[in-house]
Amino acid sequence: MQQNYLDPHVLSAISGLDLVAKTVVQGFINGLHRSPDFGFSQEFAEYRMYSPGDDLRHVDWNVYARAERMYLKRYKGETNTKVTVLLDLSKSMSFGKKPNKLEYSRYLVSSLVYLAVQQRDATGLILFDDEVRQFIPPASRVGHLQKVLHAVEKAEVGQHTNFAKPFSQFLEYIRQRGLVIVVSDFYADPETVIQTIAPLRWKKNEVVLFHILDRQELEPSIAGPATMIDIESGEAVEVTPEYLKTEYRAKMNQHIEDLHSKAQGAGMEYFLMPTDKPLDAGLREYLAARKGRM
Amino acid sequence: MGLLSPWWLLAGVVGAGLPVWLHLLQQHKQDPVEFASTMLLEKRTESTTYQRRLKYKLLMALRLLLLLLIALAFAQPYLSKPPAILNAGNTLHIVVVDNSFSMREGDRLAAAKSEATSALPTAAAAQVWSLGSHVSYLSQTSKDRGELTGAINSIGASDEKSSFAELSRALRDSARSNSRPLKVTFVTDAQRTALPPSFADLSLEPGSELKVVDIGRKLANYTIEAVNAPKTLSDLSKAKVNVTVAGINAPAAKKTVVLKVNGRSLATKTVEVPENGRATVEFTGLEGPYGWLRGEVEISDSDALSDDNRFYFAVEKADPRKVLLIEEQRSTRAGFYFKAALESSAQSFFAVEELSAGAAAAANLSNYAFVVLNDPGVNIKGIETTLRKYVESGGTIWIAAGPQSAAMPTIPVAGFTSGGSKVASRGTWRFFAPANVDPTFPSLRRTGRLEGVRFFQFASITAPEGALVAARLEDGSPLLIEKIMGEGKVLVFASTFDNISNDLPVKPGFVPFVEQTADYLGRVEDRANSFLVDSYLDLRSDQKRASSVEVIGPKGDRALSLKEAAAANTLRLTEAGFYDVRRENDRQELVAVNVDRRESALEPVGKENLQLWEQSGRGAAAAGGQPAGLDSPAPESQSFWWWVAVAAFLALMAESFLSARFLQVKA
Repeated sequence: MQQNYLDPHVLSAISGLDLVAKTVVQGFINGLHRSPDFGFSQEFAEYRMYSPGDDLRHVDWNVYARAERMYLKRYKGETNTKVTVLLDLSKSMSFGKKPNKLEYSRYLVSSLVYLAVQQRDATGLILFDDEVRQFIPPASRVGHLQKVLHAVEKAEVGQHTNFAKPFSQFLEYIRQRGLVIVVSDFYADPETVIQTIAPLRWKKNEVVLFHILDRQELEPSIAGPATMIDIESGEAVEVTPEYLKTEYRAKMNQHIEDLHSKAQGAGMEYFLMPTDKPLDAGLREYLAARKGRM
Repeated sequence: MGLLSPWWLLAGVVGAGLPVWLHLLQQHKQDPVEFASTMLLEKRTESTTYQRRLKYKLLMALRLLLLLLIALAFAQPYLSKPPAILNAGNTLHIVVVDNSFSMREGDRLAAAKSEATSALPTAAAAQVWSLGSHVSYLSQTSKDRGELTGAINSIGASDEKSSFAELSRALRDSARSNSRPLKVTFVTDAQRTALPPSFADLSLEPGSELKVVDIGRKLANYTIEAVNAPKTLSDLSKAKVNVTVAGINAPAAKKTVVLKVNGRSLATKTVEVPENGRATVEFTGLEGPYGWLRGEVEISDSDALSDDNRFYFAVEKADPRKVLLIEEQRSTRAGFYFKAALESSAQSFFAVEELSAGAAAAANLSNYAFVVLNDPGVNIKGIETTLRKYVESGGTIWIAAGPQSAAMPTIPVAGFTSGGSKVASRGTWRFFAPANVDPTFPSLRRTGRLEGVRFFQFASITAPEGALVAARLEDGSPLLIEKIMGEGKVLVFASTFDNISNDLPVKPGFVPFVEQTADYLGRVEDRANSFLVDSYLDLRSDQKRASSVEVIGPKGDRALSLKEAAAANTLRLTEAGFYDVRRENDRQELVAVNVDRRESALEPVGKENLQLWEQSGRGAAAAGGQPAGLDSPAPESQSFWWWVAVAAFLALMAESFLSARFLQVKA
């Protein structure tokens, strides 16, 4: 029953982004009772064989004394991860039925931030369109969550998206390694997108791409020939239902596939999030990425 | 090109705006739709739309074409082209053989058939006609020489009189209806008498080529030109038969003339016929049984055309026909005068029987040639219905409307409204004279217009609608009125036959008046004792009444088909000889038919006249003009609306196919 609270359509009826985030995360956590691998405290997780180069501080000497073999002791619940969320505010994010892509992104980002705070991670936020609109450095102090949620709630769409320009600035903002989450509809050439984001990866950051798309973008349908107006550029293109049903879908699938493959090739996680998809999938992805960081 | 109804095309052009408006409307229906990004809507999308637009334009063009074609079809377009008759590449050959009566001379007809056969084209289409007084079409248009030769061989000599004008008329009709030039070969003996009075009647259509093959030659010929014999007689011994024998292009000669009745020779006489002249011979007395006699006069000597040496006539031997005179009182002065006048004629065929009105009720009226009502009054009322039925079934009644009839509101039997007696007096009219007399009316032909007759008293009758007033008095009152009633007729004389109301009985016109009226009412007058070939015989007097007529021809065959026997009003007499006509009520009549004696003149037309006839079509075509007396052929208009309609149908099919393929909304 509580899983329903992860449904975007249900969440859209809830006012207040902090309440949305709390509802999502609580509902999500309650559904994880069968996943003991993920916890919040520093508790033993596993042993693994020592290999040259490992930090000797992590060697369990008691085991060595008994078995004369060197094992490293691993713990869960690292709290020093810095999570930085990059939210795309281009005008195309306003497309879609309720919730539109930006609203859905708000739910996703706030839920991620809320969950990160619950994990005692430091959370930061960068809002951008064709340049950086707002930057909140990662922090884990009390009240920081409200600051981030407030910024997310007040975020409005800007103009065009230009990945190259704002991402060159991100390298200045993100100086410590951590987890970088990019939430966007990625209306750009996949090669360009990946090349633009790839430098973040060089600083040992884990990069997760959340590709937000409306169902109408994935599977558009019109009754008859129509003139499609680009929300950002105002360009008009006349299309037929046949074209949208066949060639456009093929192009969109190819676009998604390219993004996915190029992201994986660059060591990034790619995750497609249609706006009618429950949010727990995104949270799972976050936790999976965070686990990879530990 | 022209248009018979150009307004339709204008309406079509206006109507063509409808699909244009619809297509514009269709384009405006594409409302813009906001989309996240057109990044993936590449130029191929525009190409697809462009193709769609092209197809829509094609569809619109088809719809415009469809409307315009429909409008054009309704406008009835036509193309003007030179008359096809001037096109020499499509010639129809016609071979005409003259089979008129004169072709019986010698071996003329065989020679004509031979000439006609040799004139047949080898590979071109041809028709075979024969010409008498009418053109007979003996074959279809055919290239089969065997069929055409068979048609020529089937031609036999007829009793008809040839008519070149009839041939020209048929050729003009054929040229116009076939729309092709004609090449005509006419094999004939070219009798002068076959030429029409006006040479314009021989004109041919431009492009028609006529070649006359003249096989005739000038020959001397003798013929029985006319026979004058009585039609009906009760005493054959008094009959006088006058015969006229004519020599045509012939020298003076003695000819033996034989009178025959029913095939038996009664008398023979010799007559001296002068050169190119006529002689008359008279036979007195005929012999034969009661009924119709087949009279025949012939020249026993043979000559060039022996078939015209015989002349047929029909005579009826019968007892005098009774005329019933019905009077209010017997032995009146009027009856005396009437009876004396009718029976005094030498050729009289009637015997008068007087009866009172009461006694007439028991009489069988069908036994009388006609009935005379002398001044019928109230006593006639008892038999008026009987008399009326007698008239409607074909009888005739002559009513002398005296003072008693005039005193009644309507004239008995006739039903004419009577205004009473009108009497001359010293104060106004001392007498009334006939003022408007029709001398062609059978009763009044030899009466001298009743001049000098004075009427002192007469019935003032109002002539009903449809009645014929044959004579009027000077005050305009009808004097002699005829009215058809059913199959019969009623003749009303507005005065009496005595010398009290008028002085007609003592005038010279009285006897002819009574005699002619009796012949007319007794149907003696309307019978001729011989007819000419090609004349028409009336079969029915009442066309609305269904009755069967049987006619046996000269060869003993039935001249009428069953349908014609039931409905035909006339019969065309095509052969010389005797026609036995049996009308309704078993009334039999023998009709003698003779060949037109103009066929006996075996004298050909001059060569120059034949050449003129031959040039009448050819000359006009060569000169590009028209022959004298003929209008120039108007350019022929060839309508092609049907082809436009076919094109519109094809456009409709294409439009349906395209619209079904491109305009349907895919699910």
